[in-house]
Amino acid sequence: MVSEELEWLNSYGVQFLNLFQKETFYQSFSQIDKMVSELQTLTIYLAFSANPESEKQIGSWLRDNLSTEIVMDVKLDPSLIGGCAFIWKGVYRDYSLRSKIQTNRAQILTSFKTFMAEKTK
Amino acid sequence: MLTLAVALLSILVIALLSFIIWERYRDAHKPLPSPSPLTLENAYKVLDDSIKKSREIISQAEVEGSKLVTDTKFYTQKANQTYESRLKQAIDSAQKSQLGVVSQSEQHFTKAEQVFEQYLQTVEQNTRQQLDGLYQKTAAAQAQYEDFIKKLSIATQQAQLQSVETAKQKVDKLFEDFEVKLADFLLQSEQKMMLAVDLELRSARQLIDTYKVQQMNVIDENIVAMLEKTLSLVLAKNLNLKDQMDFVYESLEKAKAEKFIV
Repeated sequence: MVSEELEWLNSYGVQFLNLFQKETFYQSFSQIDKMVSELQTLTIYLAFSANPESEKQIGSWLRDNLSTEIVMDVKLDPSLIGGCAFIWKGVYRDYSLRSKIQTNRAQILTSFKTFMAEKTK
Repeated sequence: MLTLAVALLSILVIALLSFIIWERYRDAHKPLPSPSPLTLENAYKVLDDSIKKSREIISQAEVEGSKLVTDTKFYTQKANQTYESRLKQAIDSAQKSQLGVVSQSEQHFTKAEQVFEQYLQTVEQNTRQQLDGLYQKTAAAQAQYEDFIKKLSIATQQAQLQSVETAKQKVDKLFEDFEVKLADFLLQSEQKMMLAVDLELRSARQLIDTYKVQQMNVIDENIVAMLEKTLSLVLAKNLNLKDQMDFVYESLEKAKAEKFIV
């Protein structure tokens, strides 16, 4: 566990670690805290309990495809079935399987009824 | 009668005179206040004179009264004799004039009877003539009346027949109109009832359809809910981490495509 954390810290490079000197330690934390508070948070609701690897993959995708200045807040919602939902700048939007089912409910119902009708013949 | 009146008058005169004397006597004998001896002597003298005078007056009155009675009797007898003689004369003359009047009256009566008989004969003739004329007129009027009655009876019968016929026609027409109106009314009522029933039926069908749609929607909702539940249970067990991550990447790509996260 300790080795994983060390690895995570080393991933930020020497320049980042040099910020935390004996004289500038508290100042650096305050500065980081201020910078973090200025970052925008993307809340992600997942249908499954994501492991750190999965979270890392999602974070990487966000930084590569959208922006580097996004803080990710991962939460669990099993009712989503699959996929995920987001809260961005106070707006909730659902891109999960549950949402797809609700969008295509008419087609699903028709298919189900057709299936039931064929089965009862 | 006259004698009796004269006697009564005499008695009255006597009574009056006696009353006057008595009044004077009483006035003379009134008690006086204790007179003096001289005055008393004079008074006795006056009283004595008065008594004497009154006796003279009484005696004179008696003489006058007897004379008056005697005169009254004489004149009464004389008046009776005169009255009897005159009454006898009047009765005689009345009997005479009555006889004349009776004879004249008999003549007048005879004449009047004759005139009256003539008048009666004339009246009888006139009456008979008038009666004959009246009989003739009455007979003619009766004949006319009978003729009129016959015509009237015929006309009444005809009018009655016409009335009955007219009434019959009116009743027939009334019945026909009534039948037509009743038929129209029944037809309209039937149409209205049909329309009302149709409307009620439509309303009931609409209600049933609405209820059916509502129930179907509820059933659809339940089916969808059941499907969601089933899918969530099935997929949760069957989807592995890779599949879940694929769904997550798909969601992220879609959010990026919609420019939800910038």
